[in-house]
Amino acid sequence: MEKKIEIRAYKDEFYPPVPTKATKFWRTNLVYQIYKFLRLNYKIMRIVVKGHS
Amino acid sequence: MAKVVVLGAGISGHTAASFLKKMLGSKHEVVVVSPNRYYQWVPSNIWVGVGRMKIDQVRFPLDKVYQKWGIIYKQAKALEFHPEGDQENNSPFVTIEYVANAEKGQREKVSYDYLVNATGPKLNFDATPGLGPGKFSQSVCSYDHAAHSWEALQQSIKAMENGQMQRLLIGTGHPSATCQGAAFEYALNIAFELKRKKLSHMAEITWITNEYELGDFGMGGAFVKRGGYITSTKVFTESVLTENNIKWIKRAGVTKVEDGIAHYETLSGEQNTKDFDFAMLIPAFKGQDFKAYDKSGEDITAKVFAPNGFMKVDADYTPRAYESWTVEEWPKTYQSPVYPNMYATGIAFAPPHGISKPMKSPTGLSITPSPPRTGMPSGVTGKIVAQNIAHFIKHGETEHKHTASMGKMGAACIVSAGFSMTRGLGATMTVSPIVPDWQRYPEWGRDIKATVGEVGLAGHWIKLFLHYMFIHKAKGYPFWWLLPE
Ligand SMILES: Cc1cc2nc3c(=O)[nH]c(=O)nc-3n(C[C@H](O)[C@H](O)[C@H](O)COP(=O)(O)OP(=O)(O)OC[C@H]3O[C@@H](n4cnc5c(N)ncnc54)[C@H](O)[C@@H]3O)c2cc1C
Repeated sequence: MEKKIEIRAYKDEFYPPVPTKATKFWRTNLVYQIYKFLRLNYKIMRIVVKGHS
Repeated sequence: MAKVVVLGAGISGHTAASFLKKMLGSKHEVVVVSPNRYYQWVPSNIWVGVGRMKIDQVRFPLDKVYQKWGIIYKQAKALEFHPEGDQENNSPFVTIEYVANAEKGQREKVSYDYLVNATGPKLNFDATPGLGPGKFSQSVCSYDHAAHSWEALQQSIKAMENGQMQRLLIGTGHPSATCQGAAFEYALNIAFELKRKKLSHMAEITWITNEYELGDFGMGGAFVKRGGYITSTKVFTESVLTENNIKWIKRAGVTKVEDGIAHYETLSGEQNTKDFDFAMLIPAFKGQDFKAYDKSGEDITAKVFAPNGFMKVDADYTPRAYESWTVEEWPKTYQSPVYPNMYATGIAFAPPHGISKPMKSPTGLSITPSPPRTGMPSGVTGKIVAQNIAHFIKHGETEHKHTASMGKMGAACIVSAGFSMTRGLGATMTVSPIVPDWQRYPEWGRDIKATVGEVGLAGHWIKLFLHYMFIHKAKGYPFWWLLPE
């Protein structure tokens, strides 16, 4: 039987940017994410400290 | 000796009570009235809803902590406010009704010198016929709702394992619902769990929302610096949904839910339905239906509370067109304009207006997210009110030394997108300020340098770290007061 292909063209979900393989890789790369963890915490703390003044 | 009564032991009330006691010590009395004997870290309910956490990981009993701190705890719900006292009492008081143990059903007049109303939202399932647990949809707004939602979701998962396609509908269950962020997290966590079980192909997940554009989140959307562009959260949100194969219906106000069918009206006036096998839809929020009376017993509810039941504070409630809204209308001290010894913090205060632009369908149905008041502003407002009250009591002053406006303060929101220490994901978003300040930041409404939007494993770690940190703080473990709200 022929496999039914769902054509996404012209649908809402056709247009947004989607991550490439490399982007997905870096998202769960432990070393890079440890760096991100520290950086994001720093950015969050800056906002938090401002909110408490 | 002064007496401060705090109504509610959620993020805001518990923060206020803990700082009040710490600052006032044993010379003064702090009383907490809350019907739920548990403190719950609400943001982690999402993980209860996908079976990744048990109820007891997101809650703990309050009595032990309050005993340790010397706070008087009454497991009761507040019913009436008497800010001038009554014919027999000159002191202001609240009428409460006990909800547990031998005292269940008994009423008591609890007098106060200062009152902090931190009773959060009433989950108004009744505003949408058929909505909510025990009816035709699920909720994750409290730990018990989330646990039920997980039970229902497991049935859908079983059906998928048996080869049946399942239609899952997640989003807002009322045209003016808020808390899109929580529902969005739930949709992403479900998608993640289905991927983990290799069942993604058996599910059709749909995100239904009252937002004008995706990524509005009740705060008019936001812009983030990303990949060399300044990008709106619309793009960010659509991208995350597309990646997870989640379809969406936007500008939709759910008006009725039946067994397996959600009815909704769109901003263009269409009346549509969406079939589902499993639905988790966030209800509208309102205040706790309190009544207020003056000394002679006359009903002054409309003076103290806004029509939506939230308490009026030092906001400017003059009706204005969206184009004329400024951050100046947002409250700073959370003090009642009619009774200066009363405050409302967290979700319990009445916002001056929305943050998202009001929209109506041709039938006149308002389809617009209400303004969210997330964890950080709830904690911060609880803390500054506690600091001010403690200062008044200790120094006899009446000037508010501490202020916190949502038009000045920023917020960090970590959207969980999958629970795993090595493969999990979280979208970290920060905005500053929460309410766009178009005078100060004419281009984007917010400080673009302080705004972050990133997806990665680090986001999951941060969300999990915050879970443990805030429970540590709420339990009053060593150095709890050093941890920020
Ligand atoms: C599923 C979910 C996920 C969320 N995730 C996030 C997140 O990731 N980040 C974030 O910043 N925010 C998040 N939020 C929002 C956050 O939980 C709220 O901002 C916060 O809980 C509000 O705190 P509150 O103290 O004002 O209200 P609540 O936490 O609702 O507390 C209200 C308290 O009042 C008590 N009460 C109710 N009625 C009465 C009465 N009549 N008398 C006395 N006491 C009463 C209740 O028992 C409770 O103790 C989420 C919300 C939900 C529902």
